[in-house]
Amino acid sequence: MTPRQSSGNGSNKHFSRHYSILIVDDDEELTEMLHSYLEAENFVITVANESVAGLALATSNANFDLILLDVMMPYLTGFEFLKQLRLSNTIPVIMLTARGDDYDRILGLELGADDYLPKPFNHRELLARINAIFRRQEIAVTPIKSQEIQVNGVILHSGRQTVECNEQLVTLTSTEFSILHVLMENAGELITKELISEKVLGRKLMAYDRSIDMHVSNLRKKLAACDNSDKIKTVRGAGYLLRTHS
Amino acid sequence: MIFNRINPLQRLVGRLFLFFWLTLTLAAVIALFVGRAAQPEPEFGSPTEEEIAQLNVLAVRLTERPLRPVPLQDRIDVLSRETQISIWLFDVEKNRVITPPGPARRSAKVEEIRRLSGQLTPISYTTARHRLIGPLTLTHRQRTLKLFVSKPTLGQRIRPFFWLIPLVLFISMGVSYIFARSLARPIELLRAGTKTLARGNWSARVDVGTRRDEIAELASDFNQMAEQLARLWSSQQRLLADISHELRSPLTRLQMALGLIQQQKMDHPAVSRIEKEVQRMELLISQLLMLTKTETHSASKQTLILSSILSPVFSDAEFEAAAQGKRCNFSAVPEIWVTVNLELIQRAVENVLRNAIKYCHSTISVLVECTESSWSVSISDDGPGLVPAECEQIFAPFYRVSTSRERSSGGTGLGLAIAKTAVELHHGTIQATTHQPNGLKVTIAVPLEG
Ligand SMILES: Nc1ncnc2c1ncn2[C@@H]1O[C@H](COP(=O)(O)OP(=O)(O)OP(=O)(O)O)[C@@H](O)[C@H]1O
Ligand SMILES: [Mg+2]
Repeated sequence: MTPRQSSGNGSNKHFSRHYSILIVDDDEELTEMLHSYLEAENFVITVANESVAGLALATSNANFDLILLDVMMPYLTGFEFLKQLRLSNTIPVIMLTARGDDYDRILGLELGADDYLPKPFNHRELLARINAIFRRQEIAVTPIKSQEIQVNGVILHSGRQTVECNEQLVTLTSTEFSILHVLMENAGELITKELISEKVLGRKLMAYDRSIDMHVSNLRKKLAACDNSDKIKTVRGAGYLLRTHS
Repeated sequence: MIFNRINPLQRLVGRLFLFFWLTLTLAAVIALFVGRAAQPEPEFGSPTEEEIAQLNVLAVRLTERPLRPVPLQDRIDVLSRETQISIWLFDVEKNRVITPPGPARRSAKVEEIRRLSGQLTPISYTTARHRLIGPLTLTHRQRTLKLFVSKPTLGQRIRPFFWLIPLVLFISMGVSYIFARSLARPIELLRAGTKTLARGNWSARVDVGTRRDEIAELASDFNQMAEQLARLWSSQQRLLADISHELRSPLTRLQMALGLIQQQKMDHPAVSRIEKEVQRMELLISQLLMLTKTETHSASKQTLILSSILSPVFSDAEFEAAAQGKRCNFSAVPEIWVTVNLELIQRAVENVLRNAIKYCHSTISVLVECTESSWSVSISDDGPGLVPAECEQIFAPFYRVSTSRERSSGGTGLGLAIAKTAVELHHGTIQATTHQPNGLKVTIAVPLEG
């Protein structure tokens, strides 16, 4: 594959550095095109057409910033890949699921994917999702914003990207972290799903999209694992709020 | 109406039963009559010694000179009663028969006695019912009398005919019923099987046990047919699912190739055209997959409170309507528990709601109701509506009213087919009617227990 010159396009020139993306998909022709496309968007791309090799790459110290993970792969499916990856790692993952398969989508989010994109996807959509994740990372590492918030026994270090609850470290994916961040910054206030979607996923909330609910439910489960009280209240049809005391 | 329902001739069992019963009873009655007609011919024979002795004793008693003259008839009456024997006298001069008391005064017997009175010595005359012994000639007050006795023929003391009738009726009834049932029962089983099959349950099979007759053959043919149908159905579903699935990879690549073109800023109008068509194809495939998935769904149902099922769908619809500047009015949802497959029922309501939002002019209204046995959601809009003939057809896959086929915003025509399949999996109904003054009203009704 001829490396494409990665200038000119600049749709993400506002990023502080060239983020690296690992693409794990068994469709070689597709990954070839993805490679050229994303490289032209100033990303550093690594492709693994075989999921076992991909997992080895992801868990090595290659330090990817994002993994694009196909669900339907032989030997090691995307779900198993994700399960094993999450044992040690919180790299943001975007799942490429089969369109129309709600089950795949829900399972992916439950296993800790940060976002999903149904195949076949539009290239702009893909770019938007990738950019949303990196934009979040940019904000998180901005030193001015680095702070420590403490609400109801939960301590969030926005600089270190860590969360402690009941003096235990909680491992969150970057999406979960961002949602918790938004909730904690506005503790005790109702945060609508629209706001969470725009702030965290970087897109307008779409009808029939339940990914925010999935992420919040994951977050809730992880927090409940170290402290039995239910810290996040669901306001049906409206949104969520973080309780300031139990 | 009511008569029709209870009329046994309306049912196979009843008809067979009545037919068999009638035939059996008739046969039994005929047999009895024939049996009677074919009774053994009257037989002449010689009386036994005891019978002669009995005759003699009676003769002596009759000829005893009484204290005062008593009419002969009275003496016979007294003697008959005393000895429990039917005594008959034939008065030769007067050519008259003096009969014993009781119901025995039968003209047939009187005739027989007249005929037999010419005999010189006592003989026995045996018919099926009685045995007549006589004559013994005796003289009484210068009259020549012939003495006879009669007794019932041994072994046939009671007349067989009358008490056999209820017995025959009873037995033939039982036999007929069992027989009729045995014929009709497997037919009922077959009918139940056909009904299940017709409802789309391809696993319907008929078991008629150990029978080996034509009905059993019919049942095994039925089972073969059901098997074949199930095979065809599942292979069709698999094919459809596979096709839709396999089309995805090339479509994804096509999308990516488009992305590369657009990234190069090669913005030919045809490119955006291609993009639009790809999106349409994508929608079509995902809807097709949804339809096949719904059709083959092994609906696992759960019992939920109705509002928890509907409110997420309603809030999504409200959201979508608001984005298009349209309004939704929702009625209150009754607090009831219903058994449904959450995903399927939500999808059904969602598809109808999205149509209403798409086609309405400004407002849609949603009414949720429940009865004792079912619940329903009616979604009405104030759009163009449909002519009644189309109200049926819109549930067929790929059916679109021609105006929406031409319109670029037209969907795939699968939304309502999916909704119908999902609702029918819950044994419910989905119906479209024209809504006054204009617009369409679609009602989904589902039994409470799914
Ligand atoms: N509320 C309505 N008012 C008028 N016409 C309707 C309404 N709902 C459905 N129809 C007609 O019925 C047709 C079939 O509807 P259906 O939902 O099956 O398909 P669709 O909406 O065209 O596509 P899809 O739902 O798959 O995106 C529509 O094309 C439309 O012509
Ligand atoms: Mg529709």
